[in-house]
Amino acid sequence: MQSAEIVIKNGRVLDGSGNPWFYGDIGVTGDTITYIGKEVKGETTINADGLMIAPGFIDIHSHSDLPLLIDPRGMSKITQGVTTEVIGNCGTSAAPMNKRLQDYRNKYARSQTSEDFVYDWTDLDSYIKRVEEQGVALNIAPLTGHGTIRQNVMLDDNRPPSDSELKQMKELLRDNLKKGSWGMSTGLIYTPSQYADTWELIELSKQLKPFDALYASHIRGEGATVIPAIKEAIEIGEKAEVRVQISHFKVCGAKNWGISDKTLQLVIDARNRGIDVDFDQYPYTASSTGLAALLPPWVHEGGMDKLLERIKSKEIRDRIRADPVEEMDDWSRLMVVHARNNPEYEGLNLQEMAEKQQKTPLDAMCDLLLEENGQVIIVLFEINEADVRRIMSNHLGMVGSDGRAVSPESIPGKVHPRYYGTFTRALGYYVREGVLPLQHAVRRMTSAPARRLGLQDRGLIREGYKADITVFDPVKIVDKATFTEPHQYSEGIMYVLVNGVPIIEKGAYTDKYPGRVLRKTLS
Amino acid sequence: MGYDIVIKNGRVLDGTGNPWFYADIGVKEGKIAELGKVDDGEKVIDASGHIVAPGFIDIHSHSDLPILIDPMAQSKVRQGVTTEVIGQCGNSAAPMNTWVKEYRNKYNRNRVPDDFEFNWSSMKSYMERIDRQGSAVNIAPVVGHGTVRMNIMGYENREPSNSELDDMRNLVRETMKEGAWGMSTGLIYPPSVYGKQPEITELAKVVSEFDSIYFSHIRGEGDTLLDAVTEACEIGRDSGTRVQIAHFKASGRNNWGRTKESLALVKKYRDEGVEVTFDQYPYIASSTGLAALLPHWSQEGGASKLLEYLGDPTMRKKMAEDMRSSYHWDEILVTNAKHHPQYNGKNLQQVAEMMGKEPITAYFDLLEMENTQVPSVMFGMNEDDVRRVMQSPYMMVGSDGSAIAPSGIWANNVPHPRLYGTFPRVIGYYVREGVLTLQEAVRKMTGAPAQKLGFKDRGLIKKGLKADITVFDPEKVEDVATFTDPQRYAAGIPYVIVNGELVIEKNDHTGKLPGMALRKK
Repeated sequence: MQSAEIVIKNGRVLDGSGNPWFYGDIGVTGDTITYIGKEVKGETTINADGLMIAPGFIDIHSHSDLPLLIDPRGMSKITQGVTTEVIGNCGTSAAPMNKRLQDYRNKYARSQTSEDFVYDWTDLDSYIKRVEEQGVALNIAPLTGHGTIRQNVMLDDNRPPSDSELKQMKELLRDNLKKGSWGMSTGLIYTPSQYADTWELIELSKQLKPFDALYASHIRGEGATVIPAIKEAIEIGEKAEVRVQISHFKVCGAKNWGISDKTLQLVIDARNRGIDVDFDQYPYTASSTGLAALLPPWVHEGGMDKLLERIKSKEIRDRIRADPVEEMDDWSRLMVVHARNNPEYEGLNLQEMAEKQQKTPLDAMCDLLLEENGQVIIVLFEINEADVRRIMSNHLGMVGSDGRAVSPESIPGKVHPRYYGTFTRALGYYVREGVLPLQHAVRRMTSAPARRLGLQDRGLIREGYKADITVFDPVKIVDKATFTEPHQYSEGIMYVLVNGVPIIEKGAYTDKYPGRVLRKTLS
Repeated sequence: MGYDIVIKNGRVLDGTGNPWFYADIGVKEGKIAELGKVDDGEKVIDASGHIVAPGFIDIHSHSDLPILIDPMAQSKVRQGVTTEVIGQCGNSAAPMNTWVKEYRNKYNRNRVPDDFEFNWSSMKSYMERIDRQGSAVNIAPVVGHGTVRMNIMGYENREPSNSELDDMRNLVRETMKEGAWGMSTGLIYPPSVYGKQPEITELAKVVSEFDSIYFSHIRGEGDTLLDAVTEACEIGRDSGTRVQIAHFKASGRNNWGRTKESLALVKKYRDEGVEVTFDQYPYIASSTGLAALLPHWSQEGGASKLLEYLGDPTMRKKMAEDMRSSYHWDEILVTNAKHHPQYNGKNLQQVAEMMGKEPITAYFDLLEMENTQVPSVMFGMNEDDVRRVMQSPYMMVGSDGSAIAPSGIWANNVPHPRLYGTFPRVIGYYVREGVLTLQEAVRKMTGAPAQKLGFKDRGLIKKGLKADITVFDPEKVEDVATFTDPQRYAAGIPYVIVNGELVIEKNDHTGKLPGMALRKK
């Protein structure tokens, strides 16, 4: 008879590989899965009768860099069964952060933070140190944001880097990779990542290759320009010889609905040519972003100070009106979810808000940005359900929340429900709808992202693997968060173990902090 | 670090259902020692444009005797198979008491060379013979229920007494202790067919003690398909054993389309908590002995009794009345009439014309002339069913064929092409047809069977696992074997590594025999 510290008995094991469930008792000792089989005796026994035992979910697209410093419990994520978050996405990462960037963030990046929060780290090591000192419930795998690197070197300048600036950016990136970063992310609609041309991104991505690291991209367009944007991501993968992760794969804007068959084909064709490109997706028909991101790139030049200065001017507003971005076609599809100084507008769309204020929507938008120091979060109902399903049922792809780990206590205002419900929605709603089989839904959130990152000891239920385990009820699992009431925890996640320690037990939070910052090491 | 073998520039399909990724593989001392960036090695294989996958696990094989006759395992290893699960359909090499040994010496001689010796007894001694002789592939044996029954009750068509049932339990337990991976039944073949559901449930309970698998060629694949699937699932439920249904299909024109119902039945039992999965070979014809069409009563006394009946016109008439075959005579292809090779590759309609007799008479005559042993192929399935079954998440790939070669004792055989083409046909033809994605196809022949069997060190490309590796060209991989010209090796599989040694190198067999008998611990 085998023995272990914790035994999970009588459950059906979905091992993360895409295989259908099998019966197996799981023995956990220390931080490791030590035994899978029958006849295992444990000091602590978890009865998983009628439940599924899966590897802990890996959220390959997360933005918890800051939230986990504010609230290390990771509540909205762990209640979905997430045990590892890949942070530093969309071009923005906590580190590196030089003095100038510290000052900038201490001034402008305050919408989520308390008054006394201080941005005080510098390189990746010092950020990791701060996380570890504070403790964290789940694991974190950091990416390095291209925009953050660029800000360190050239602030928010809209121009190509000089030779020496490019060299400095490469050095910063390499420094992060040496310290364990899993790759580089871009956010090519955000300032300043969007000021980079393809050549700059290829040059930087070439630094990833010796580290076998990932290039993850919020591509340059997800609406009318989605096809050239995907082609650019593929070109970067091809020329820099790195693997490419297209973030939150989707098609935005009613005019573009239905072209996901073409965008998926681009990915399939690239893979057939030998370029390892793949993607993640969140299972919703609305996206979410900062309201400021709707403004054209030229308005962003020089950073937030300059942006706020510009949008005061009627002339600038007229210029925007004369050449609007495609999201402005229908203001009623844009819903304000977080405006700290104007909570009365949360839950309203920009059309409604404008009518209330008796202004044009653009003026209402600019005025709100000014009142909120540029920090307004919106939800955009711009995705078609048929596209969501087509992308989800493609055999490629992973599940990624594109959300932050929050709790109703830790963040004022509304958020996108994906922060709370991404994984449970895929496993609950979409599995029941028959869009994908349960074992493949689990694969997309476990072994698939593990393989993508190069995580060798997580993502499967297997002897010798780290004991990151999520036990859920396949019948009851459900996302509760909605667009109007987003701060609601999912149901049906019964047990979550991180590095062998239960952080959710019988569906309840245990106040334990066994998470680690995972550093990529070269084999 | 110097590796024995380095596989460079390949696209790795790691045996999970995940898409490929780039990684080099360093093989050392029989294991995958490195996965990532690997430079030097004694032997470097450039796998550019190729897929690097775990070696295929054939979860349903009949190589029990063939692997002793020719350990090169040509028809299998050239498909990329690195492990075979043998002892299927109720019939295993071991255990073998004196009576079984004599019986086989008398009636199974047409399957083996003249100097072949049935010289083992227990599962242990059979596995030791494999290890002594060597084998190109790994061999994981299961014990046949029919064989167990033969050892205890011969060919008797009756329920076992309590003490016989105990003896059978003990025999199953003994083979499990010696490392067998489960128990198989062949519920259309004597003597396994004489075992009723309660008997098999009792024996499956012994299998459950070892957390092993109940494999079943179920009691009917045609008109009684749904009852037969139900029986297999109930045996799993009542004994607490994992179930693997063999070569899942619907046979006979009037049953075409019924895989919809049989798959729903599997799903229903899984939802109720029975761990049932199945395997399939990717063809619309099945292969079995011609005698399988005969009524069961005619086979109760074994081959000697049957030969008596075949020599008696009255009994012939009776057997003809009781035959329940839904095949047309031209749907039955004779593949290996050992003493009358002129009929090989001919269907029974043609055989009858050659003999100048009625088909039923030709059929009986052929059985009589061949000592009742006439391997044949029957075209009884529908392509839609084949594809529907293949797409089920519970399906794995299994050849239902043995490892042979187009030489020696098999030189004049016309076997079912699945012996040569099962795996390349799935990753070649069916993947190109869009029935499966390549990574799903590979999972169904690697990670899925490994997980089902409980292999802890094979079935995935992972650092630290045994180096069973198959390298194939996804554009060119192809089954070349056909029904009329079946003894042709698969194409597009240039390298196969078993336990860290190259068995296939640049499309040729190296003659190496690094395989071993795998024992369940």
